[in-house]
Amino acid sequence: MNELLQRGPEILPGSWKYEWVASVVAKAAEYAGRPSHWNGKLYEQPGPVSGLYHRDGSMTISREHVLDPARPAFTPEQTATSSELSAAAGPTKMAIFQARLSLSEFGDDTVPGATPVGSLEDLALENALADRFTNRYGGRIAEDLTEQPLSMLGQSPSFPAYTTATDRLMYSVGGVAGMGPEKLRDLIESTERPQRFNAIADAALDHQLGDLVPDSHRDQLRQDLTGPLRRGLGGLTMTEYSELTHPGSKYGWGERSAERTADEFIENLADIVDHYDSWAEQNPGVEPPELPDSLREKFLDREEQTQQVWADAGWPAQQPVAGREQAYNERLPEQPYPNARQQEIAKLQQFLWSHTAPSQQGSTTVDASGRPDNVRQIGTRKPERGVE
Amino acid sequence: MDAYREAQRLYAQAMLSTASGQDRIAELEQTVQRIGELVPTAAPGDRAAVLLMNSSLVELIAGESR
Repeated sequence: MNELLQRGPEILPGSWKYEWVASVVAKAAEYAGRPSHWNGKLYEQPGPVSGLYHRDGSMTISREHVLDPARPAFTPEQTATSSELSAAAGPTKMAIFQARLSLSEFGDDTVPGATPVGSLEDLALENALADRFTNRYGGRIAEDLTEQPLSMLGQSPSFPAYTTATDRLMYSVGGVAGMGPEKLRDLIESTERPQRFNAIADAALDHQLGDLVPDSHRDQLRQDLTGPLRRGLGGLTMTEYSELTHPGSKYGWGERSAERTADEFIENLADIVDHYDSWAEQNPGVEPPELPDSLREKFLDREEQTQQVWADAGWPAQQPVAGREQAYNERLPEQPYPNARQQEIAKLQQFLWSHTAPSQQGSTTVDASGRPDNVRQIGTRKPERGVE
Repeated sequence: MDAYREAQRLYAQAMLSTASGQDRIAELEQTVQRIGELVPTAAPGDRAAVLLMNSSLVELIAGESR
């Protein structure tokens, strides 16, 4: 086993360390209104890592970086010094963040249409949800667990672009899904990770069209709607991890990216609704056909337009739209990359394209269904999942 | 460049890597160690973010190792 995945000594129930982590997890579950999937097994996390929530339900947590520095603020018979309280804030945040991760289900990401756990869009969404939860409830959880004045303020954001974009999407997409942002957030959080984007699409389709959509159309419509969400959130990796983007400006990029993502999602949805509503009105009782090719071309046009908006804004998240790679490459000018920022962006684009292009993803579904090559197929990733 | 941003740079470098399999895992491990070396020099308010970044990298290692 990889050294970083090896667990340190088990932390046993009855010890302060165990009981504290258990109380943080219990509080996280209480505030979330959902159970944790932690199986009760806890181990020390070696190395410079806060901890990990494992697929088998166990958790590791760093004694050096989390448990030891947090302890003075949570020991009832001890009055922590101001410097101890200050040093305990970050570790408490990490413990709460990890407790929140344990509320998510890993699920099965090998079924068709699933989002691979560890993909860019999965990491963006999960980290955003955990970050928002930690920021929202961290102070209250700390207050519940200690009478000492532990302030959770002053901590740097962990994932500012992901979190801002996801917040924005909750409002925009929640509206067309017939639910408020918090209800949509609850729906996503309570859905296992590989099915979250599908759950968003289903909520919107069900609200807008009810039973007008035949079950056999559902998978393709999900892809038409989840595509913008996946590209928008996955593309934010460029922003989130860029050395050249100041943390403060990441909020702005997250906001603007989410706005475009929501527009694309909502416009695609409107076209889908129009197709089924029109058919039902003109052909009552007759099963509707799938979306026409002309509408799928419109979706591709929209995807290109979104890219252009980003490019015009100075953040050219350019990737050729599936099925239009040749035309894209032919019109691409020579890129001299006059500065480090553009060079970095080019490298990030190349990376993202290599990991998200449908042409890079082996798909037996596409071949079997006979659908045109220019239809983005989701959930048919190559066997080695995750970010390479 | 401060430790927080340097950690982000290292993370970006790891994410951009085209390596795969064991080479990929080795690169991720190396990045975790290098980011770890930055932790003591990070501002107190940045340390949690830096360590959570490392946790995310280890999650990727776990995914690669599956």
